Amino acid sequence: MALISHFKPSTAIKELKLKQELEYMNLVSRMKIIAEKAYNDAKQQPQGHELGFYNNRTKKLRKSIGVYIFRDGRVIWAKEDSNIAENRVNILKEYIVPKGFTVVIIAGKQYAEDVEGFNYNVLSAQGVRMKKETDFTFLKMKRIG
Amino acid sequence: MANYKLTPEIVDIVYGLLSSITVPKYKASRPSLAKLGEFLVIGSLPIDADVMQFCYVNVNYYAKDIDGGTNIGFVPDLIKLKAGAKLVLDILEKVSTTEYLIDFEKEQLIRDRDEEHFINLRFSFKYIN
Repeated sequence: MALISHFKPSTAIKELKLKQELEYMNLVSRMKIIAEKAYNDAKQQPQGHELGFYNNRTKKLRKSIGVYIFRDGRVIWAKEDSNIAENRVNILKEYIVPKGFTVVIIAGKQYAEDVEGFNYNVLSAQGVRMKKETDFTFLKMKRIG
Repeated sequence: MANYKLTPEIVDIVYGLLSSITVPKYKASRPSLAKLGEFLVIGSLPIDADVMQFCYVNVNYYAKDIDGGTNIGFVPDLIKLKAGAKLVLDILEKVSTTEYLIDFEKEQLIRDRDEEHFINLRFSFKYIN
């Protein structure tokens, strides 16, 4: 009796790559859920100083909020009101890393930082939550692997 | 049960840490009737409810603008703003306790109203429950 195993390096590598891609897809689907939650929370905040929130008078600031998932420097998923050129320019300028995954929530209007300076949350609270949850997802991925 | 902190409590902690600064200090927002001049406003963005709670704290150092002269008008009093912001930074940068951590995140100059600017110092505040 004989048990023979033929090992073909090229097939093994293909299989490994496929498995890796499946893991990535799984990771991206979890990141999408987290990112979408942050986006919706930031967009659906109440408004009005009397409630402790910024006034959404011109609607421009809230409209400029977008969330993006990048892989190896390219957008693979995005949620935004419309294709906001401002966001993409800001992201490309500051946040993109050429390798790996990057999740970014951004308010394209530069004065978002001023608004937060007056203690009105634009997206920091949601961003912090998003970061914690994505960190946790990556930790879980590490444990699985 | 965890001893979760609310944002007014975080503001109280920072307010206490800055007690040695002698200019008037206000919590949460600039009082509408506060006179133009030097003062501090300490506020915070929302805090979460994790074992390590996280929020951003804003410490805003206000100063009345100075007259820049004919054809210029009022301009920020950068000397007072810089000195005041430095005082705040010197105190909060050195804070280290077993309950909370404070880290300086960024600084920006913001115009609030006519003849008034403030330096916004943003800190991250981590409270360990």
